[in-house]
Amino acid sequence: MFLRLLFLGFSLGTFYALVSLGFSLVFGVTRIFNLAYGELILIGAYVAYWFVRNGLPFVAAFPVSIALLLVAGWIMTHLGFRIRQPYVLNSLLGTLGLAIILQNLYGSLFGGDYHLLNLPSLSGRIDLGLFFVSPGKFAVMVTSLTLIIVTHVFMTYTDTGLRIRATVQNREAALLSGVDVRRMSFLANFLGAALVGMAGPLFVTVHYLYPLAGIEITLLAILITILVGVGRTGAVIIGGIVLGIMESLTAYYLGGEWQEFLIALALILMLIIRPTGLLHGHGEE
Amino acid sequence: MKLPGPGYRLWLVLLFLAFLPIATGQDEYRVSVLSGAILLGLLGQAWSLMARCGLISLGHAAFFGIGAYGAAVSRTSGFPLIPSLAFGGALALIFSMTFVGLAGRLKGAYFALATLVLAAVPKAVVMNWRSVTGGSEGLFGLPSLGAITILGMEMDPARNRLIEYYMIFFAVFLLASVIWWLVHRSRFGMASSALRIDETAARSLGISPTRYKATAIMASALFTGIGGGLYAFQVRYMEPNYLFSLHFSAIPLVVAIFGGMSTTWGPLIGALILHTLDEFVFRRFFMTSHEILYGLTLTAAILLFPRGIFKAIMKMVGEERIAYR
Repeated sequence: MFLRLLFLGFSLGTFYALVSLGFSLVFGVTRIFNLAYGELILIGAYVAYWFVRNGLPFVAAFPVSIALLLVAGWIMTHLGFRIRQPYVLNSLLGTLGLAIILQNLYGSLFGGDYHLLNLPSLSGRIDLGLFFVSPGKFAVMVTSLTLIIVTHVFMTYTDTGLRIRATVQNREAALLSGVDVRRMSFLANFLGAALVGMAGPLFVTVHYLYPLAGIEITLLAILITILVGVGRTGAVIIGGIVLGIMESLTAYYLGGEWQEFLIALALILMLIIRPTGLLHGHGEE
Repeated sequence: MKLPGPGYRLWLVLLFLAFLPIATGQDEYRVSVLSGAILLGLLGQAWSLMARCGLISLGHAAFFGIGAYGAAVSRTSGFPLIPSLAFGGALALIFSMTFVGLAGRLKGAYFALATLVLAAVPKAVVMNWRSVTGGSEGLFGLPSLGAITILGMEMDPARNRLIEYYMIFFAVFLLASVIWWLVHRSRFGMASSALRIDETAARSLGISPTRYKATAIMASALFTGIGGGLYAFQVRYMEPNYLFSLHFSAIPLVVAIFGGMSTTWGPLIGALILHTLDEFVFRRFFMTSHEILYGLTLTAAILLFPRGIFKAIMKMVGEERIAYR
């Protein structure tokens, strides 16, 4: 049982890592705490749910979800230019408003019920020798890991990736060294939106889908980003897996109702231990 | 009493509000909507007390829910009305003190993020302390406010006349407003504004950020807790999943920002407009998703008029000074 829980936590953790990777990329260049982040992931999740409900293939939800997220990201970036000082606090409130809008939109379009997709191709079980797992969990893990590794390689070993990281770490210095900061910000936003678009349909296979499901994902993404620091694509996966395993163990031994409390406690503690927050070590604030 | 300059119109508005329920023919539904708006105005004012120091709270549901449970539990165990309300407020105050002790030094967005998860803490307590709080099912059939005597007039909501509720809500609101108004004109108000605008400069003038911020958080928690108690006696049932939800964290800040968070009267004006709009229009046409109003208002206010609709209107009329009272 314990090994099975570890595996479940691991597979959940890779999904969390994927989710926080998108958050961390966009946060890195915009410095906006997007409180509507989880609700944006739900866009893809509801698309996938709607597709399967209407007999369309699940895989087709991915391109649609990515396209929708790119449009949403483009709109948000342009509205973001209108936000006035104090910029960070106002963007926090503006995205909270967006989160409430989306929650209610989902509620009126799809109702308040809990949904979980049971795809015939992803149910059943695989024998791993010591325990059984469902192909769905396996597929989520493989997809998430692949996306994270591709992003990590892109950010670490390509010239463009290096420029994006420079922009995240110190905008002014990057600008002085001849990095096209605006283009890199645009690219990071684009990449982040694409990752969120991929994560959306995966969400329905690992989690119950309901209009208020987004806030938990937002909190997890913020928590993992604070835990590992901004723009560190490699460390994100460790943070995600640690949280995933923690969640699967506490859900089994303590019960699911403690999860919200534990996330809250972890976030407050992280903020107190690292009061400089996400920018730790980058010499800002 | 000398009327305060051009602001006397606002006192007239308040006088108008005090008699409005009588003018509307004491229609129960309309009076209850008005009571709700007054309560929301109180919550918005309490929220903006913190915002005035530059502290954005995304977790006022914590104080609200603690106040509601504190008042409900003490009332059911036989306490009179006003001590019950005070008890709820005091519990919220104590909770805010522990929060200040832990996270009072956080700044800006990091403070806001810490408040975002704040409501999960009392919620976990309420959910697991079943013998007192009723656990996740909540508490039902709370006693109503009960008969009390104000200025020799006996108020008895048990006679099913909501006007008395309204009077009690209005009395608490008026008390809070007068306190806020005095605070705003005092050294405290000046110091909090200074802290919001430039903390370093304020410190160099000898203003202690820790002290002023702690006071603002505690006062805000106290009044939000009392508001929670009033709410508990109005709806007469408690459900932890709803009381500690994002909804009650969001509405105070939405009305405050919409109305204008750095003014005394802005939150009230915001609450009156939004709550009546919600009850009379949105709840009718968008039954399951009427809260979309608050999201739309918040995002629109941040993008279009971050200083609040009150200031925007006053500027249009050419009397911007009133907005600062």
